[in-house]
Amino acid sequence: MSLFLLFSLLGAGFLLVLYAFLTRTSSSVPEGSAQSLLVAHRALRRLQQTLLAPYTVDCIFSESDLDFVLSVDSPEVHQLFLLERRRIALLWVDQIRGEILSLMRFHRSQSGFYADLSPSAELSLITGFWSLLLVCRSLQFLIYFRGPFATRAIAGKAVLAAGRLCQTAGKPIVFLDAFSTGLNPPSPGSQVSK
Amino acid sequence: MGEFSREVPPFVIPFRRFAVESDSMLTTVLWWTGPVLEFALIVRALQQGLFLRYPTFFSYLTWVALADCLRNYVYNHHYSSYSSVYWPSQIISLILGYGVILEILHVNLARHPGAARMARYLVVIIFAAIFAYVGFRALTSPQWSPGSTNAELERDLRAAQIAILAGVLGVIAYFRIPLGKNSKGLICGYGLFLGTSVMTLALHSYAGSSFDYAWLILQPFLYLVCLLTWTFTMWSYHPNPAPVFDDEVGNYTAYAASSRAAMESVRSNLSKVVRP
Repeated sequence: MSLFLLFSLLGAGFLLVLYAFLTRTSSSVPEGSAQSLLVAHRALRRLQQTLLAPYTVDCIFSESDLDFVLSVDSPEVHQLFLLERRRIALLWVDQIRGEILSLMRFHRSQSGFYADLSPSAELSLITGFWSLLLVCRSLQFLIYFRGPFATRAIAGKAVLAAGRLCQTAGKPIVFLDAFSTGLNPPSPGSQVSK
Repeated sequence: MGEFSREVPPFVIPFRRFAVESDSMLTTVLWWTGPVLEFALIVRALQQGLFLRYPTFFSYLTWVALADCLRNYVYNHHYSSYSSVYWPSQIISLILGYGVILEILHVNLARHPGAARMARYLVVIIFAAIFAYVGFRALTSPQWSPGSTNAELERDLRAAQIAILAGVLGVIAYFRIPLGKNSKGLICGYGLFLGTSVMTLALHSYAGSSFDYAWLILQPFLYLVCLLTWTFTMWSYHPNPAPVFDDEVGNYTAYAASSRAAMESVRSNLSKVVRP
């Protein structure tokens, strides 16, 4: 009976995997096309210049805003402010997560072309990306349950932990501009179909 | 009926009833539709040049078509020899099936050498894991054998095929390799065949000969679904979308370094955000 169940589950599970595989690979746009290069380029720029810019973060998590609202003697206003600020913070993390996903997808779509791909290096890289995504999910969880103002200090520990994970997975290096160079929208003639 | 209910699980009964009560015409139609579709696909593949593009798959299909005709003939005219014809031909189909999986790997990863390298590593690891498991079982329990019946042996080998195909699909999905209609059809049809085969073989091994009636209809019916998938998707040539590769950094080491640098940059910025 146990073997019957085991093999039935294996067969059924594989059919589900097959269904997920076929529905997810329905994209007709070839990976690595100019469009995906642009998306990845935009993702990196948005992360560096907008989403993770100190000004944006200060605006979202500004405690002076909180102090100001708390000075108003109205519980309804307090509640509305906290609710809306939480919503904004959650959306902000969601956008960061989306851009990290774009970068990860771009990396995956390009790395397969390199004949000298190192499986261990690839594994460490993807672990790093996943740890960042995990940090984003943790941040969302914390913001949802503790609010944006109580979250900031706690989340720092999560990010540090993710950083340690990245460092153990592979030695971090100084930022190379090569990635940005690689992400520059290519001229039509520079695209090589292999 | 009461005695029968004790012999087999309750869910088998409707299959048996259906098989026994159904017109034998249905079985005949199911059994002959397969070879007709198979030969139609083979002729079409020869006309369209698909045979040269997917040689292992169409060789497999040719073998299955010939074996189907032989089995139908033996079943109708020399029934006592049917079992001795069915299982050897099935084992040859199974071996050719491994070739089909390798063809899926080769055709879809040909333009992605890094992904192909990863897939080869994965296939070797899966094979090593299967052999390690078989070796471990053989050493720890002397009574153990790979399959005490032909159905069990086929079930186990099909399960191994599932593991290998799942690994190849994982690599294709990971590297976001775009697939054309032919590749999708090949994967969908063969995957469907493997998944349903393992389930029906598991049921056959569990229920024993009482499942034979249902099996005579269920197996060709499920195979017909796979064949229809191949007929719709492999009727003409649809190549995989040509990937665009813009190599600005030279090699994988430099590319991985730039990806890591981008990731580190994001992480460092995120760290500053949450630790003002």
